[in-house]
Amino acid sequence: MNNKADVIIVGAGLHGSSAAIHIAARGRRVIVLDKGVGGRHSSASNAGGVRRLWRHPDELPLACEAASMWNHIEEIVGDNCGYRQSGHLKIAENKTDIAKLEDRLTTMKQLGFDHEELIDRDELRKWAPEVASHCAGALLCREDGFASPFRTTSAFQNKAVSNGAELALNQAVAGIDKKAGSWIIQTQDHLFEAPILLNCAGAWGDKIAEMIGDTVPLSAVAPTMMVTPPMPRFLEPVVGAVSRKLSFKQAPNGIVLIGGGYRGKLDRDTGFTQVDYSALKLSAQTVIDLFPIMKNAQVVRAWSGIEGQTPDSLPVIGQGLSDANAYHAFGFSSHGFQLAPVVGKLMAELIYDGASSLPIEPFSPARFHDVEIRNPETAQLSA
Amino acid sequence: MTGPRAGNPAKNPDAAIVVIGSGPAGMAASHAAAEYGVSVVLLDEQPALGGQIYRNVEMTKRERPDDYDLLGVDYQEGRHLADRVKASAVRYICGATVWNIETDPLAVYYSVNGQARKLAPTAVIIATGAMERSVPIPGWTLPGVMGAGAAQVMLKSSGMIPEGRVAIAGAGPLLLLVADQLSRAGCNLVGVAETTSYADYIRAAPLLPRAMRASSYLKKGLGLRFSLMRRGVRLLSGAKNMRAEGDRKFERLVFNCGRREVALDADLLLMHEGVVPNVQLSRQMGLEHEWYDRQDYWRPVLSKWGETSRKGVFVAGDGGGIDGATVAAHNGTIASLKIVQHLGCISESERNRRAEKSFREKKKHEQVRPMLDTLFGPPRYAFQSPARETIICRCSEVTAGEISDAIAAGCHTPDSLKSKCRSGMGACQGRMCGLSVSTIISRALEMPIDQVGYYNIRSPIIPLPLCELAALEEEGTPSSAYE
Repeated sequence: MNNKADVIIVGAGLHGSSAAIHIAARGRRVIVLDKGVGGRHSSASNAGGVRRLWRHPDELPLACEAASMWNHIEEIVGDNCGYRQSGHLKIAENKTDIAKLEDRLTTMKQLGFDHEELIDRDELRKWAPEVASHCAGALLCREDGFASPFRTTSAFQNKAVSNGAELALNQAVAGIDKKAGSWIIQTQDHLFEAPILLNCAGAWGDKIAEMIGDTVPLSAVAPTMMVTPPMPRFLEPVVGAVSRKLSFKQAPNGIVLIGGGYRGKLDRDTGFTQVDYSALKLSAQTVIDLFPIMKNAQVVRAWSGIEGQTPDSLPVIGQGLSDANAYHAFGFSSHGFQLAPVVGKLMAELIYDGASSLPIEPFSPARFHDVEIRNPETAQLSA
Repeated sequence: MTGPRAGNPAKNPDAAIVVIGSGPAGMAASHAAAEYGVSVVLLDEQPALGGQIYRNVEMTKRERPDDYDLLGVDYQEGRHLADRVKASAVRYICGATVWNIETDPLAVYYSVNGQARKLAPTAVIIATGAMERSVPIPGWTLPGVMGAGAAQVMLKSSGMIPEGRVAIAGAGPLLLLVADQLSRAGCNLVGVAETTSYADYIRAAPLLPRAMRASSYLKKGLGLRFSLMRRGVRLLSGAKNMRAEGDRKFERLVFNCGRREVALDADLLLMHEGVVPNVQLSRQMGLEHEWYDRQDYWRPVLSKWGETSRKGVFVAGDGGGIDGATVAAHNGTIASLKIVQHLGCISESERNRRAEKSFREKKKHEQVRPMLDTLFGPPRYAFQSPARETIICRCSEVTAGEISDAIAAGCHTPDSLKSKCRSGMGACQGRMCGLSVSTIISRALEMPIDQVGYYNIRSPIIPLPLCELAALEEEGTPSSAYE
């Protein structure tokens, strides 16, 4: 392999592959490095939610553009990624919850977004017939849906390759240097060289940033998923709850996927994760409380993937702080899947057009060095 | 809380040691530790002590003396071990299925009578033994095809003998034993097709003198062969290209024997190609494993005391490598002695003195392995190039052809195959197809199997009802670390 390229992307997961698709499509030579096979963690082990509902307002311009890209995802990556527009629900269990939904809706209207609507008790039962009787209503986004994380990650990787990007797998980055205007990236057995570096290293993004000279606070977390064997179909939309940690859906083949951000333990150096069943106890109870039909359902598998989370739970997207030829797109924990198609496109614009077509200022790595600290209440919205 | 002070993990009121599995290794390990006053919890999924090899040994003796005699002295040996465990202070919990072990800190999750529980011991001994190797030949998933070991377990636990005509096929010491036991129990055996050939016997012959040091195994093997012949059971050696045929259920076994094609019409086919370590728990924990290529199986990497790559976690018995019941019991004792010494209950010299006999006996019994391994080598033809239509993953019904296509499409690891074809994603958690899948990738890519690796085994290793998880009971306080 010729190890010189126009852009070197670190991380062959969903975001690295998405950026590679768009950069390679501009006729640029791209090499995508990955410490493993790419997409082993966040990209392939997340819940696969394609969601605008309840998303942080700063992310919404990107999420709306992404939503329209998902609608013709097959044209973009050559596979429909198992995408299904099922609708997403955020369930209210009491009056306090309903009030929160009303507040959210008001905010959305003020900002000019109309993708969310409030549905009452009866309408909720039409969307989710098995929901527990105490549930009082929900916020609904009809155009939200889900896709298969593995299929999606594979499709994005394959499309990057067919556009001309080269994947260099099992190449853990050991060091990054700058010589004569070029980045020299050292892995265990190779040197790679390019004038531009794009950091899409997910939960390891802060380490790559550090090597470039940028300090970005990031914690590695391991949200857990549980899955059941195929069950008779009872649920079409993806379901969350206002006051409880829940992400709940039934896949087309009948299996039920349960997430919600309950965290396992992890070792970021080895990539090993361990499910924490003491934490999942609450997850099981939440599911049974909201869907009594699940009481005797069996969990056949639980797993955690390692994701990167910033202090304000928003991703890091933008130009490097210490070097204008370094770029970042990482730290998407729990909301990166839906954004992947658009962020890759924006990175290509940022690098080659000098600006992105959608506002990405809120995600600049510079925000962690500003004096102004974000209101944690707002950050909660995106969880 | 009454009793022992914190800081003395040996007296941990909950469990200093959790032993999983009550076969020979688990029973010997529990008993050995309890002798020194160490608190032991012995978990086993069966209703009675004994594991697979000594399945239901206490009750068989009491209620079915004829079967007890039929099953032989090796089986009866299990009763002495069971008696010793019963007489000790070991807290034995039957009907307990372990579904997850956390390594950091150490915690064992199990379910008993629909109640999920968590124990936090200082050390764990995994003694979950072996399982029958899957034999993916065309038609192996037809109703009417089952493991010969499974049939033997039915004989042990309930005295059940298969009805109708029975064909037996495969290789390994257990094959002839089961054939002999079933035939003597009055079962209608239409034939035994051995995949072992005369060439294998010739290859194994030079290893005979060493094996003579453990000659009881050899006498046993020859005895079985004569016994079957005397009874007029048809023995066919060197069977190749086996396939099970039938319309919706098994009707006949077809194979090549030399140049001719043989068909055995039967109602039930019992298959057996040896046993392999059950590594589901050790894999789920992420412990280090190695490939043992004389028998084509994975085994956890163990110290001479049976300690795994995680300190304080031990594997004893066939789960660490197939050596049979006698060696398993010695390994159980050895692992316990190491833990007991580590907990400060005995000195190193006392430990070594006590362990010496077990090490010596174990070595003697291991002498027979090189010969058995050569004679009953794994049936490479069946696993390495299964016909395209052969089902490999029975839970998700994934064929060898689908797996080969996925490999050609770029899935080069067992885990990516799992994501792509859903093989290994069913209720058995890859227990049945894990070995086959790694082998197929290794063959297709011409890559050593230890580089191919194995499925990442996820917990729970057996299905866990959501309501059980919601009611998880956490017992006691975390134990002191094993440092």
